Amino acid sequence: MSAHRLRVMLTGSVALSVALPSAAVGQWAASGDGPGQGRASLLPVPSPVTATCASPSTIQVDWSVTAATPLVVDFVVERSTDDGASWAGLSSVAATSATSYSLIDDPLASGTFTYVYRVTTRNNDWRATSAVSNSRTATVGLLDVTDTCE
Amino acid sequence: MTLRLGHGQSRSGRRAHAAICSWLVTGHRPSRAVVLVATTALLPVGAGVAYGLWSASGSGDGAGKAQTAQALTVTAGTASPQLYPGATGDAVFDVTNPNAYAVTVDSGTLSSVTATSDAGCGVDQFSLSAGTVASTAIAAGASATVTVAGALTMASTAPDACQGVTVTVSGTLSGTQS
Repeated sequence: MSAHRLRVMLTGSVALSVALPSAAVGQWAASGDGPGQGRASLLPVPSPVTATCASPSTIQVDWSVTAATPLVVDFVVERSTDDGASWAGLSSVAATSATSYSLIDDPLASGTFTYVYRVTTRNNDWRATSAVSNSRTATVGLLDVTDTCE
Repeated sequence: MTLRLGHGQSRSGRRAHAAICSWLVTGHRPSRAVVLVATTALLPVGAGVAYGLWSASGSGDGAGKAQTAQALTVTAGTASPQLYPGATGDAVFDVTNPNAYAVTVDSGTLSSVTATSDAGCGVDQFSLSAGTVASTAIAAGASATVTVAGALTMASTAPDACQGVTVTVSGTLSGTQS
């Protein structure tokens, strides 16, 4: 065998020893079938919901959520004058990037009533309702000077 | 250029190796004896290459030492709560690699939504898309969590019962040796 042929042969051997393992690595493969998991969120529950006397004839309702989230579309505020046996909707408040919200209940009903409130977060058919707020008793008459809230 | 020889190579073999490499690079031909020693020394290297090829394919005549790729074991992972009406979330898998080599999972196909954790929230409230498989390296014999991002979408009309549900999907994850 001539020196030239032997040199060519050895050069080829070296090239193969480098290239072939690399090619073989790419052929290893593995796969598997099985279950995966997704998870749905929960609407945040407004908390706390508090009622304060904003004036002798109005009550301010305050509530907050722990974090602003696109999950909440709006809040529905309801009040009860029979200690939560029945509820009447007051208003809806659109959700923003804020975490604290408030609403003035005005006008109150004529007469003396004890008011409690609750707030519900909504997203389409989803609902999450707060606990019942503290109570406020207001007396509203025909003459503003006789109105009281405590 | 470096020509690596196997462990256990004799001292004369290593010298011959150096001489041959020098010849290949510079053209300074070594003695015939050196060439003979070096050629002999290459034989184990060639055998090693051949063994590697049989192992890679997992088949071949007389390859008693060949390995067969084992299927990955796929179970449900723990997803974070991302879905709500109209929103898209991830599908999460726990994957165990039983092979003697590391695998990087980088592709997958989700076939169906098979169950939810609340009977009031049917599987028809969810749709699947290809999503993006987060390339994940799994060491030999180890496990890892593989996420397919954006694979699940909840219908905008999903009922209240869908709050907080877990959703089970079936899928196939694939990877290659890494």
